Amino acid sequence: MNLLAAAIDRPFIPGWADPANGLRPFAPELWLIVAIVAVLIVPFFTRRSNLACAATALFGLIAALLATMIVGTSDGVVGSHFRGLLVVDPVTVFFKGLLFLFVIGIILMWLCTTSMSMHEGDGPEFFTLLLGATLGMSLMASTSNLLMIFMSVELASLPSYVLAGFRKTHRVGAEASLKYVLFGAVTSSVMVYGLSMLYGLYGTLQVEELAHQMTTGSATSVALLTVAIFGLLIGIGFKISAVPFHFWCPDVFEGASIDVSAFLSVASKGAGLVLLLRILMTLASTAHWHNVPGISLSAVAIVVGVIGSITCTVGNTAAYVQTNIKRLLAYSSIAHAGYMMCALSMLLIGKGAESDLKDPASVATQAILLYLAVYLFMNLGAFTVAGLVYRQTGSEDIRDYRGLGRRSPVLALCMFCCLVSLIGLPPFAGFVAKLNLMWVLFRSGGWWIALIVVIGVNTILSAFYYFRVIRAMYLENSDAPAFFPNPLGLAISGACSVLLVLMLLGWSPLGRMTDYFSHLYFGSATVLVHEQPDMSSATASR
Amino acid sequence: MEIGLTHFLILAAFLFVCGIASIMLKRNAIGILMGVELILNAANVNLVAFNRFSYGTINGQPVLAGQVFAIFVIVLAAAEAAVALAIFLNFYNNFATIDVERAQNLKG
Repeated sequence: MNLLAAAIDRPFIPGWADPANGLRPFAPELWLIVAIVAVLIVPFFTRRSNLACAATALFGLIAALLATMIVGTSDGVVGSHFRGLLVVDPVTVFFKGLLFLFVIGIILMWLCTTSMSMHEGDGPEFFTLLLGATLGMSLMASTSNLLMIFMSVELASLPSYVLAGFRKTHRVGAEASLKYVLFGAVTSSVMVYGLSMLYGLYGTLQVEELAHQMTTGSATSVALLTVAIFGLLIGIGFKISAVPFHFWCPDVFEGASIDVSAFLSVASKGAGLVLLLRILMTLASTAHWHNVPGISLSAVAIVVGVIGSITCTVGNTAAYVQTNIKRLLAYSSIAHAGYMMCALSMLLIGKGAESDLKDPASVATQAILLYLAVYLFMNLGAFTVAGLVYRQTGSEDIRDYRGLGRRSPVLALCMFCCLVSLIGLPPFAGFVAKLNLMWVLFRSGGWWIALIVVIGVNTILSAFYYFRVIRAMYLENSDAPAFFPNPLGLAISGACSVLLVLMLLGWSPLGRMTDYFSHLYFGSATVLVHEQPDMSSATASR
Repeated sequence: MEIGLTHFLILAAFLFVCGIASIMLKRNAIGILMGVELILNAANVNLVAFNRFSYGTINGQPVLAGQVFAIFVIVLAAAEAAVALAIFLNFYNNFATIDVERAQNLKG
């Protein structure tokens, strides 16, 4: 085990562990890059076998996951590297761990759903794109440089466009990828225009220095600053699929194959949320926003909170009329992104101001990380069941779920667990995640109480459409034949359901863990530019 | 009259508006892509002009952050165009048109 850790941590590159310029903090991404190259080479020796590519990608992701755990918790790595192009901190480590775990789940899901219908020989392209998008998302979560933000958003987007239309002969797939690429290209170009304005106003590409300049620099043009901030919000809002940039989401989810939809639902949104979290956090912690000439902290907080509440309301009301399960899950994922954005608005409160919380930002980060972790398993489980049903019946219509409770009881039970957890009812982890989020908003007081009302009303709204699926499964009859689903798929969705219950039971260790990861971020964020924080006591306590 | 930063910013803003107009008005997918390229080039003009006129030197040393950013934007614009054109071709193979108004199978 030690040997394995050493091998993953030190691939014998000269200057690897050099604290100033070493590549060590970049190790997880490096393993992904190695896996991408391997996926392209392996088919030459295995007669272009798809399974061999899947296995290679799986090994690469496991190595990246281990590298994240080893490097992320070792001394002297937390901080900013390569002149701020790469930032490693606990939030990054936590998100990267989740992301790699999730993509491993996606590949296992691919094995039991889409792999049968994929042409032999398409594997290298598919896994190169999947790993490339994963690389982009992990970089999105670990940078605070405007250039890298743009690069990583594009690196995450470009492969996703192609993945959405990967089934070349499907008409809906072609349409989905067309809509996705047009929407994505427009929003990312507007984002670059905003970034160029930010550079022009403050003369730096580092978000920390930018925040510093905002408070100390001379007064700037409010109009240009507004254009810049809105450009940035549009680019990231597209990744999170926040209203009004959510139109691509249901279409792409319906047109893409189910593993790609599942991948985009968690990975793309999670990466966007963490990126937005880091930017807002850096601005709020470095700059005393109240003193920024021309723009007020609470205005930005209100904008983010209002977008979040509109996003969850739109997602939940539009989901109500859907008949396609993937479209329904797409709107549900929009709604969940909205809940997390509501918590994001708390990041800008600032310490001690207008609330009785000691450190509202770190509490909000904890709530978001916990929600993201739980959301990952609920969505993976629900999408896996949808994929297995599609493979069996060839349909994604909710009417074809009628009688599933009798036709395939275990599968229906897994779907039931995931859907109830998505509503946020006990005894599943979705309940604690949502309760934690609302409790955090409640404690911060002020107008955040209004957000709790919005989330509460939305939870009731969402119960209706989730229960429609459950009713179809258990209370309606059909004469469709019983079937036994693929055992691997059953294992994935079953594992997700069991985990959801376990996460509720083991809620306090889970809460402590997310607390740990959210707290250290702030310890390191304040000293990012100046010195390395003391990580030795933290690693000892693990 | 000396050509200064303001002129470049106005040019960039004009390009940006042209790009947005082209995105809003065109029904042809390639027309929309051209609008996107216009916006990206507006950003490039901004970056290069700001670098040249405002942030060219720090302590007498040349600093090229904006210029380098512009080069990356050019490279990524090329990559994006390649991916977008491939997707348009795929759409054309399925629908025999690249009119975006015809992409109406997915609704709701």
